[in-house]
Amino acid sequence: MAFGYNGKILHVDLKNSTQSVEEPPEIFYRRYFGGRAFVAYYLLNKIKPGVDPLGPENVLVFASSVLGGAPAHGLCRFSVGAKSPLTGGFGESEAGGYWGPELKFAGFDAIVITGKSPRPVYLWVHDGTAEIRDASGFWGMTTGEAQDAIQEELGDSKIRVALIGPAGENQVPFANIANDLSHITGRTGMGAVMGSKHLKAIACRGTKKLEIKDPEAVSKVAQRVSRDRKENPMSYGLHWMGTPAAVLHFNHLGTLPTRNFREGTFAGAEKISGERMVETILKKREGCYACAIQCKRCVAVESERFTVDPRYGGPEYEALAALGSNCGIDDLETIAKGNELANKLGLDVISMGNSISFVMDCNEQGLLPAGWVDGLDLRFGNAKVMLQLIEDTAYRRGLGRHLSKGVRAMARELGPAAEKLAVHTKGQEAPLHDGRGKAAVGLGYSLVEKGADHLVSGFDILYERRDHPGMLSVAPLGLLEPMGVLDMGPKKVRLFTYMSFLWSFYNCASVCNFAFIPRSITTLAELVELVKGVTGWETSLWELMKVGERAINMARAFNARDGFSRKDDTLPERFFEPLEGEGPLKGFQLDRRVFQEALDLYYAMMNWDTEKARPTRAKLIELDIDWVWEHIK
Amino acid sequence: MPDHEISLRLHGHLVRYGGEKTSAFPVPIGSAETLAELIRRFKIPPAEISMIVINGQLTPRMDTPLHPDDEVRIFGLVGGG
Repeated sequence: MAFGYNGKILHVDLKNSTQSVEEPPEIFYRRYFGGRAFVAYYLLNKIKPGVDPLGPENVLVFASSVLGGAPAHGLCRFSVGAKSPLTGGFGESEAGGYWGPELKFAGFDAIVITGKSPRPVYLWVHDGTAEIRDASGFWGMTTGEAQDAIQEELGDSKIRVALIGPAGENQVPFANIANDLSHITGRTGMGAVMGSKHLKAIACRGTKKLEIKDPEAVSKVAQRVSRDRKENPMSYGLHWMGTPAAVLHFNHLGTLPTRNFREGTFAGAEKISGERMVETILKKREGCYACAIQCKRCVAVESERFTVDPRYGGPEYEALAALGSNCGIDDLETIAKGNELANKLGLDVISMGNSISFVMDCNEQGLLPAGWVDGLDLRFGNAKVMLQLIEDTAYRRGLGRHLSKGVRAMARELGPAAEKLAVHTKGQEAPLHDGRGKAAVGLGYSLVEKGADHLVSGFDILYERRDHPGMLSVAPLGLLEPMGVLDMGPKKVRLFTYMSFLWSFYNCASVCNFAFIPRSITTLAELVELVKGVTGWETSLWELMKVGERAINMARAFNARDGFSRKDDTLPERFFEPLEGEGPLKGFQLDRRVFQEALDLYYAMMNWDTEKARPTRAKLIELDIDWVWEHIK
Repeated sequence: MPDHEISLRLHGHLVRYGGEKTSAFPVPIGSAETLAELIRRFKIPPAEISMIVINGQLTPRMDTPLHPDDEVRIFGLVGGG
């Protein structure tokens, strides 16, 4: 008997309006767990190299996991994956909320979607069945309008809906997918893939009770965390101020991306800070399924200028920096409005903000043709134009026609001078963390298969000091010595490698990094207890780390098959130039030689071919996925 | 009676040691009071502090003496987002 998972994967062919249910054996679940590894498994096996990410041959996977929906904090996440229209490589993004658990309660662990529907449709998944329904009437709606309409049509306001807005319909390559309007699978353009398939939404509702092997063991961990969450500085901080606490912190460290990553401090930081949010527009703190930490923000604005609807949540740190400091904008209400628009229209706020700051930078450098500028005042700091550009991007009009291609494509059109200002890796715009001031984050930007991603290994500040809870928490991995935030040397590469396995496991197993170490409260020993308690498997940290490593290797193989190699493991040119402005890191830049040595070392530690930067056959055999070799040999 | 005041601001989760105030507040100090003494007074565990800024300057030394009208900011642990 299966514990924790349903043992059912739903396959839907949108072209022929058919569906089937796959029932993989237990070993499949134990080897891959779910999430990222399920995505990589189905992308490798169902997509041929060279397919158009926005063509009908692309495959779209929604995957919860063995742990998803278990009755404990931080086990709510799910992955969405496909070949990315933004990078042309492995695409994947995760979100929390309630949708992932609801999919499990509806009887499925994952959904694999192939083909393109001839007309707009949505998928209605409930109690072990699925139905493809007409969505023609919902096409063109914002995420909020469409969610309301679907819940009304199905007659149940408790239905959880993952869906796209107009940006996804218009196939903007960084379009996102929202669930419950404020939980966002934002990265790598998965919303555009949904749009390309004429799939507006997946609605889920289920009443199935998940079978848990040892409910008492699971409850014991959940109760410990619930009891201690206000004492623990990491989880209490996440609850009280959420990620926006980072704004002033990073500003003082000199790592708050400002004016398209030119500078690391922002004169207006105070005005867009987490502190200011608490004092002004914060309406309430929210969270995800079964989680008491409640790290999400919900904001409301009612002013003469505009209103901000609290249904769309509130800006995280990423939005505050992407639409704020990095665009030179110090108006918190307008940033909150921009965040609401991005969630309503279905745009990834990180890529959106970067695209705007990039054109502002190009404009300042005189690199934008008059036809692009279109009479707009594109100076850094223009909050009003930022809001207009978000709408124009979703509808691909005016300058939005260019913005909607993303930073890499715009830079290629504008030429070499603009390419130096383009802050992306593999075509994905960078999150709002400066790789110059956080060496492990920089390595992650370069090495991760999906393009610039900040949630790979944990931030360097977690490992800077011997008595830091982050440093203490990773001792069971043999990571025992603190190291400087700017250090990209061999010890940092080792730490990065180990932590990337753990984080990758998190992404395979619905685990939220805001509930587990090194960023939060739940320990590695408790993680193992949770897996044992949910599944009944006699497992170990070793086995879980190997799941994470397996998923990285599969994603790497997917990219290798499509021609990715070492040349794609780059960093933005800007990171090799001195930080401008004021602040403690003024003048600091990455050293190209140190960076290349770090890559060499990482590939060697991974047992990869150093030149091709891809797995060797021996590594794949060691990971028990030798079938992957057939795809890349 | 203390003669002087400083301005103290606690950031991030450290607000819990100062009545959950997000803005700066005045704190009376005795002569020759150090940063370490101030931190003890507010019962802030040193391991929960990530950074201290006095008058805009990063201040790593806990034996730093405090002066009247100093602007002291103490930052808690963050991991980014």
